[in-house]
Amino acid sequence: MSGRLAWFLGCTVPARAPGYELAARRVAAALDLDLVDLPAAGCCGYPVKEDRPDAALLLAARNLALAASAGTDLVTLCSACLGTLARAAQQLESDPGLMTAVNKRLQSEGLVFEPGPRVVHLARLLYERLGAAGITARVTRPLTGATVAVHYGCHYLRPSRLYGHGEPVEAPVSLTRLVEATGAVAVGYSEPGLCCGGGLLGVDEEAAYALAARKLGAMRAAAAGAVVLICPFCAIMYGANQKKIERATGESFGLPVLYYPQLLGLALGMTPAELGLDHNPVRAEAWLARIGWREGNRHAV
Amino acid sequence: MSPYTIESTAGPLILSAALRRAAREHGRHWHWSYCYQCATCSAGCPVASVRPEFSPRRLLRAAALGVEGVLSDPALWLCAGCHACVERCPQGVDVADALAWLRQQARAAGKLHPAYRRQAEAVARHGRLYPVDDFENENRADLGLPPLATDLPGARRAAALGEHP
Repeated sequence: MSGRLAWFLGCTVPARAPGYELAARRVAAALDLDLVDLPAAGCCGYPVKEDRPDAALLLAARNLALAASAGTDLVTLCSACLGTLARAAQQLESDPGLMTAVNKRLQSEGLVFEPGPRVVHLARLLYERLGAAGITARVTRPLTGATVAVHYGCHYLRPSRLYGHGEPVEAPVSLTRLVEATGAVAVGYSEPGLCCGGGLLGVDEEAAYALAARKLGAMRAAAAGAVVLICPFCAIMYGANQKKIERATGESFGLPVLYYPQLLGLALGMTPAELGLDHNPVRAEAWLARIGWREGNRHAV
Repeated sequence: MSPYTIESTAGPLILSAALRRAAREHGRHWHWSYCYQCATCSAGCPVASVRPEFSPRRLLRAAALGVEGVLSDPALWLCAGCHACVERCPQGVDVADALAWLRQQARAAGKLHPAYRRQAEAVARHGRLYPVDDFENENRADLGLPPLATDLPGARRAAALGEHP
């Protein structure tokens, strides 16, 4: 582990969740986390693995090799990137023959995979480096009155054997504590571990929407004012597709979907515009007004 | 009804010794043979809750027996990859990996789901799932975000490994 950190943005965050990237960068800077960019980083490999696992592993390996040559760990915003890169690192580190074969292919780019770079999700990094207390200490505008449903998603937690994060996957705490550190209340709701259905979207849209609808319904039933999550695929299901799901099911959710760094940024005194909230597909103005956020009193409690 | 269950099989149930052998061989990596069919995987599977034809338990057993129809079962592609089953299996079977291996066998038999082919092709073309051009970078600059590489030749080449010409 090197201690130096690099962003691993992946494909979906810059293309479909610019507000997430913006908020993540601002929040990291405000919390004195120094992260560099790796301009040559490409796809993590996840979208290729069903067709050609060898190509997927090579894609992951070249990103890990880029991190190794920069002497950094990789900080992901997408949980699919997290799982894919962490898995590849484990596979390569435990199989010297595979590592040699992969490195032979990486030679054409002048890259070498070496064991070392750790792959960590930004939320995990915040939890480990600052913890809930460290976050609370930096909060200037507690989000008192905000009631949110926390969605961990799958690959931030599972498979637990891969990450060694040590938290119980059926009753995780890290993201909940990070959310509560902002002053918001994390409501309990049924089936918190339910998958968003994103991985199924290309194969069976109807089934994917049925899963997302069940979760949105449970959150609404628990009187959540907004959803807080940490993966762009989950956000596509609950946010970008919320209208479609409402039409398909005849239900109405009206739940704004925030990435955790956006929620945290509000508590650190940043404005919704600075945090790219206007790029989120479900408008958050009404929710912001309900929690008392007003332009001009950004430091008021 | 799944095409490989005895109830649904109009013709003879075709068993493949090669599939059975391969499942036994590769199954060592994910403790496949420890499966005692308790169905914890299927009972807790979010996909099975909306698509009952998707049963990890049944897919694993059918493959272990070498039931050839398993490779053309469309249910094989319904796994969302959430890994809930992997956490819950009392026997430590890596159900998700076993299913991924089965999908690879299906792919080798020319039965890859088209959604996955399209994704892989996009990455081979751009080095990432979505292309980035100068227009995209202007939008990023407006937001105060640093530019992204508009071409990723190394990632393109890596993503094309093993691609059919």
